[in-house]
Amino acid sequence: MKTDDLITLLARDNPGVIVDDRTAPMRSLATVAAASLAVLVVFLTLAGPRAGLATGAIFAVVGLKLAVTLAAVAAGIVLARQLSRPVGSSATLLWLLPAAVLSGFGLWETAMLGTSGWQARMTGTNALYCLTMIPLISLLPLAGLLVALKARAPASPALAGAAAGLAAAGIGASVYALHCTEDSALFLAMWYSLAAGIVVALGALAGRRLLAW
Amino acid sequence: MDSKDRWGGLMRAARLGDEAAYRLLLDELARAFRTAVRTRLARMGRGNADIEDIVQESLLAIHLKRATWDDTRPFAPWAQAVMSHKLTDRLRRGGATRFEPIDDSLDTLILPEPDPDAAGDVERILARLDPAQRRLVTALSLEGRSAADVAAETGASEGAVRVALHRALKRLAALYREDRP
Repeated sequence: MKTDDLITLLARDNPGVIVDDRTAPMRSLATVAAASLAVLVVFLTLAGPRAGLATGAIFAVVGLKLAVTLAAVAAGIVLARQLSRPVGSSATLLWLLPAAVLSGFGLWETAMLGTSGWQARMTGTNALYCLTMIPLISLLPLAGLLVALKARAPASPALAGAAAGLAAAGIGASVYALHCTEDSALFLAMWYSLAAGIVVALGALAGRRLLAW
Repeated sequence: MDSKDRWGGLMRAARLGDEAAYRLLLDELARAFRTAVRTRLARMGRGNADIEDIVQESLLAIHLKRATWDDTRPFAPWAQAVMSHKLTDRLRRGGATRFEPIDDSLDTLILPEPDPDAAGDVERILARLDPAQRRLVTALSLEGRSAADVAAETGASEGAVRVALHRALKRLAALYREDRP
């Protein structure tokens, strides 16, 4: 087939009016929000929220943890959107946003509690559970984000998938944080980060395979 | 008006269903891609054999992804990036075995001109479409028949023919991606 024949063929594939894709990001966000809500309801029904979630001191520390995990959601979604195009740049520093917020949390904790007993705070008591649950909760939101990216044309499918992984890990960690009783920034730095790393790697691998175009 | 705005204008018209504008745009893109791909391959010391395949794969990608172009941004850089993506992809798939090093700069001068009529890999790829899709693609392109004509012959509706064509094009793009020369 000559190029001219291909052009004839492409011109014939004319669906009439193509609606501009500008509403697609909003629809994608709605899908991901629905997936997040679903895992939130399922997880909190099965595992239950931590005791005293709404009371003063616990409310504050859960808020700090959520600041870190929601920073990952925001950074991941913005990056995924920027990386969903064949051309243009992305704000590379955004990858570090969750770590930056976590550092702030760590400094505050050090100011409050000092450094004694830091090993115990970092090790925690249910690290393996955390390491399993966060990736598990992240799967559905990750799938939603990958479906949204599939309709786009990312310059690097693996990188776009990794950004989707970061957002999904943030969603998974936010949901898990409502249940988890480990309140140290050191625990987050060690175990939440490791769990997020698993999801980011998963996103990159899946992206490379599924988002190729 | 420069060519970027011109292409953007043509694509806007094409997305509103203007087939003539779309043909014109694809023709101009094919020519621009041919020159750009030849230059890039020559700079890498590779032969001209792949040029028409890369041009065709790029046009197919432009076509299938045209809804994702944000028309508040210029079209040319977007189209250029799509072509670049396809070129890189193909070089990676082709691997090092097809690398043809040149030890003499004169070699770039005696490389044959790319041939827009070259069939290239697309024949091999077309052969892997299922028979019904191959038949449809051949009828609409090589034989130059209309969708209505094909619909009348097969007893399907014109809409069904259009849907089948779109599926065949998506399949073609997927086969290109899987193809390892």
